[in-house]
Amino acid sequence: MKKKINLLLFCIFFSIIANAQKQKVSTTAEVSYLGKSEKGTIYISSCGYNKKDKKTYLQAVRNAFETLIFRGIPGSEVNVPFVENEYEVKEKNKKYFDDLIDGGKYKSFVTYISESEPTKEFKSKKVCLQMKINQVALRKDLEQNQVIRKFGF
Amino acid sequence: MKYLLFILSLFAVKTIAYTQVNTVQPKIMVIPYTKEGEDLRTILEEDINKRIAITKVKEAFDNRGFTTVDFVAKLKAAKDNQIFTSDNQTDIKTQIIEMSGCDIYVQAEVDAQKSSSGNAVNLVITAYEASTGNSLSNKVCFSGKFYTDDYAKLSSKAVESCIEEFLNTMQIKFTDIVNNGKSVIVDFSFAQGSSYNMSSEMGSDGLPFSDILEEWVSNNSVKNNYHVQGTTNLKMIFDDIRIPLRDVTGKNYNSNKYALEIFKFLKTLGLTSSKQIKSNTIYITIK
Repeated sequence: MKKKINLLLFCIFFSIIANAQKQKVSTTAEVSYLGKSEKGTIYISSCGYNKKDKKTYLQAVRNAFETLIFRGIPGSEVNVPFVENEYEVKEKNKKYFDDLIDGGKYKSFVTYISESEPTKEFKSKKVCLQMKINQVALRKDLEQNQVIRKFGF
Repeated sequence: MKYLLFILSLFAVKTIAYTQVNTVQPKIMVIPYTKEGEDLRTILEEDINKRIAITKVKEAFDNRGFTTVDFVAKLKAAKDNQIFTSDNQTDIKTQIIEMSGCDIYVQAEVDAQKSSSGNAVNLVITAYEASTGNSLSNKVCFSGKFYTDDYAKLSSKAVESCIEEFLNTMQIKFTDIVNNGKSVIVDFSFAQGSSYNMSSEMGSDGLPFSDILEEWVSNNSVKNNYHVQGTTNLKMIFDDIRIPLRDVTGKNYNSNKYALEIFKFLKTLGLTSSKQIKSNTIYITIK
């Protein structure tokens, strides 16, 4: 009987852990507008946290692009998001978003980037980037890949 | 084998035909703001700043891959066709919007400011749905103060400062239209000498005609989205009925097709009617 109870408890514990691992970690919204830059580009700063150096950098890039696409940057001319329904669009265009960040396609939209010295915060490494993103080209790319509608209906 | 190929080609043709349906885009026209008594025909010719502001707004639409209706060309055509009576300016504006067949018009107002601390231009741009008058986007743009008399450049700076936000707001409203349907106005009235009115009892349940109409509209609007402006014994106006952009087969749907649906429905009630469609406004007259 005791063995059965132990087995049951183990199963419950295991399923909780498995579910917790499935949940995706949300990006932080530590992305802010730095001011006007060349026409068609947006000048922002973005911070990323991770235990590994390389991943911290990529996390900052991800934060920048995901905030721009799914949230909009307050104070800038892109103060409303490019995409309305984040989860639906992300699921439908998984390959596009994988290519954009992990595949390195984001580099073709970045016209300037500078990286701060890594600092330690909350047991993680923190890196902040200052970057200019060609938002007109990004919007066009999203339109061409049918991630968002073109202007109009 | 031939039979199989024939079936496959039929499928291919069907697929191509389906994918080739493009959603009909709204027609947009950019016009200058006119005060009472100002001549719309000469206002653009006299004021380079207004021309620049309008061209800049049009350029922004072009940059988003959207073609606008050219106001000056329409104005010229209207002049050639002598559609204007020159004593009422408001009418001219309304006439030109109607004549162009545009669904949306964008109004641009340029205000040049002179001061000892520098000159500036304020620009007010507003987008309206032509049929319903619904406002789609509004922005006040400021060029910033500069020690210059080049108002053309200041106008251009003012447009650049806010046009992206203006278009983004418009796109949000377009998304709403895609999801919740576009607005049409339906005006029901009775011909002179008609033996019916809105209180006439009809149908198997013997309900008043106005209630039967509302029930039909309620069942034939996107997500039950409609608004009754008012009902009298001789008139019923729906000032906002949301109709889909596409029908169930994926083909484009418009106010003409919706008017036909109403016509067919009235026929099932044993009523003869005539329909008139002006852009997104439908006039139904019951005989």
